[in-house]
Amino acid sequence: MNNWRAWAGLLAISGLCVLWLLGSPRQEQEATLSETRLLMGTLVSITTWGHTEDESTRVMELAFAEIDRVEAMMSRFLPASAVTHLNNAPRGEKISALPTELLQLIRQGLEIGQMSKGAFDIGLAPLSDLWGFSREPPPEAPPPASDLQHWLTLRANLPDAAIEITPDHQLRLANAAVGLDLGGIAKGYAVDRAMETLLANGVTNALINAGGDMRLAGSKGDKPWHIGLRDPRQPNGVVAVMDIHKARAISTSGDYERFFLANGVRYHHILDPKTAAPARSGLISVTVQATDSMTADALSTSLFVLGEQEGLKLLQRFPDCEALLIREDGSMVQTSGFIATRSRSP
Amino acid sequence: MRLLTLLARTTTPGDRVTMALSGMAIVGLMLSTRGDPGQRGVIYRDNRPLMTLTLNQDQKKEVSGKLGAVTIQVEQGRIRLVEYNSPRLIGTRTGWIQEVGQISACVPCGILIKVEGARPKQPPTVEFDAVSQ
Amino acid sequence: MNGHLTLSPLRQDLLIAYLTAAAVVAHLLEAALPGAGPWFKPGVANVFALVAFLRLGWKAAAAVTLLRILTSSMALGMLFTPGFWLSLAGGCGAMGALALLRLLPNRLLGPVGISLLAALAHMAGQIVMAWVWIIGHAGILSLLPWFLAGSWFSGIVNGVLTFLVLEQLDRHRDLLTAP
Repeated sequence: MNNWRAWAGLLAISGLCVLWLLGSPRQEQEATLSETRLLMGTLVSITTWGHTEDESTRVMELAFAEIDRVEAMMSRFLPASAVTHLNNAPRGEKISALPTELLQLIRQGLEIGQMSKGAFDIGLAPLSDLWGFSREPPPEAPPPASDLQHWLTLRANLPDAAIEITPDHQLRLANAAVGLDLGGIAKGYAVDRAMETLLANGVTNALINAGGDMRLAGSKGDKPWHIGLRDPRQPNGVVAVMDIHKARAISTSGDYERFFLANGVRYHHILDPKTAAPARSGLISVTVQATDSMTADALSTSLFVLGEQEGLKLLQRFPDCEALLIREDGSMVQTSGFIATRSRSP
Repeated sequence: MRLLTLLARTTTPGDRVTMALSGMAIVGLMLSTRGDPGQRGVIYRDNRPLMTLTLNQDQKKEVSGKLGAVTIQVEQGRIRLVEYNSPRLIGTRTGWIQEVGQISACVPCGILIKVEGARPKQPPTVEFDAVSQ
Repeated sequence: MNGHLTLSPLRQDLLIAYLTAAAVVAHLLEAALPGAGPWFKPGVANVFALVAFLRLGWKAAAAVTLLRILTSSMALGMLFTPGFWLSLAGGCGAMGALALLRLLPNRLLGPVGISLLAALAHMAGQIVMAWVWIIGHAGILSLLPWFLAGSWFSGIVNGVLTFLVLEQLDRHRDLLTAP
């Protein structure tokens, strides 16, 4: 009977449709996968492209664990960290048995400090504590001038090697004006370590973003990573776009990240050791592109403190590092190799 | 069999095609949304899941953060961290979130909420992969 | 199974009244049915609207549906409650589908096909109403396929019932058309 044949045909077609729906390959390989954690006092996101969800999740987990490990060693806010142990030790005393990794990073920090003629300083923990930008709730007024003066006086008495690493791998902090604050370098270092973890485990297209310290590898297939640069005066605005499809690290330092206004003055968290106050160099935002995140992190802070002229001079001594500066009046200047596909005045 | 006979008697070929096509469309719809129990808001404290709230049900929950209680509100399929007196509370600036993958956080409280659920077929187009700031 | 009756206006109104009465009874019985919940009912009342549609035309079907919803809601004391608006939205959806189905060639779909499509449109109308007005978020949409599956079955069952009612009606055609 004709009717029954039609029924059977329809049944077969529906069966095929069901099979097709069930069996259609999921297109996750073409998509970006992203995961965010709260680490190092900020939101850390890892994004991958072109990897299966299982693989990506597994490797991201390792990378987050690596950041966690670095933070546990280098945060001055964690009571059990090696840095806290150092800061709590009596001044002038040699501290031994420090992790080689930490000593290595401190050496690099000291080197950049020297090259920047002291604008970059990893020994500012006591001054940071005076200002209290890491406090919760954040401060609403600057510390008393006498406290700052006291710190400046104490610091003037420091020997050249305020932070000294002895040949037998011990470390000594000279006096109470100095204490380790790796905030300007450790976040970048952690991002570098996390990226190395991703690459070593076969994740080749990745973006790590740790609250302004960023490192990229690979691309999104035929598309570059599409990065915005924040408008320093409009939280949701973007002043430049960076389309990047090669291994690169980006770090931005700005006067808008942590700040308060008191009597019409903007007090931000990037402190100038020479004045014991927030740096006023005529710049409000500095973005550095480098090969590694640690260098980008340290240089963006250094350039912010040094200002345009001295800053760009320092930058020239670092190969393959580029910068974009935003001045107080909103005008921008960038070095020739800085990757920005579109930028406009803020 | 008697049912089938009745069905065969009462339907035209057009009816049968309609039944098959609409049935297939519904099965397809079921498969495409399969395993999706609706969206949920997962609350993390120090990156460990603390609780899961279904977004289908309006509710308010207090969770203990590093700096005291944080209120989390679910309303009309959206979730947010309720205003907390800290300029560094990113969650307050984020406001309501409802798309799978969206995140809101109170960094100093150590609290992060994330909308989880079936991954959308068409991932939401975001303007930037990241913003340097 | 398709084909309109030609009746005098009075007989037509009378038939509409009979069908409406039957639809109201079905509606009330279903409302009293335990366990069906507010969300899913077989919707046997729609059988009578379909009979009106197939024998008297779209306007008669719309009249039966509208009168049925109004009368039943009044009887149940739910006039202008959310349940009433849901019913109305469903009715509008089904009527919209019937209006479109008039564009198809006459013999293509029988009562079952028409009932099925009307039932799906009925459910779609209800869901949209629930979504935009009563529930207000997309969570409800994830249940859509399940509701539609229910409508698929009830639409077919009601279609078969419609066919059987029409058979009876046509057997007594002489009573309706007698002068």
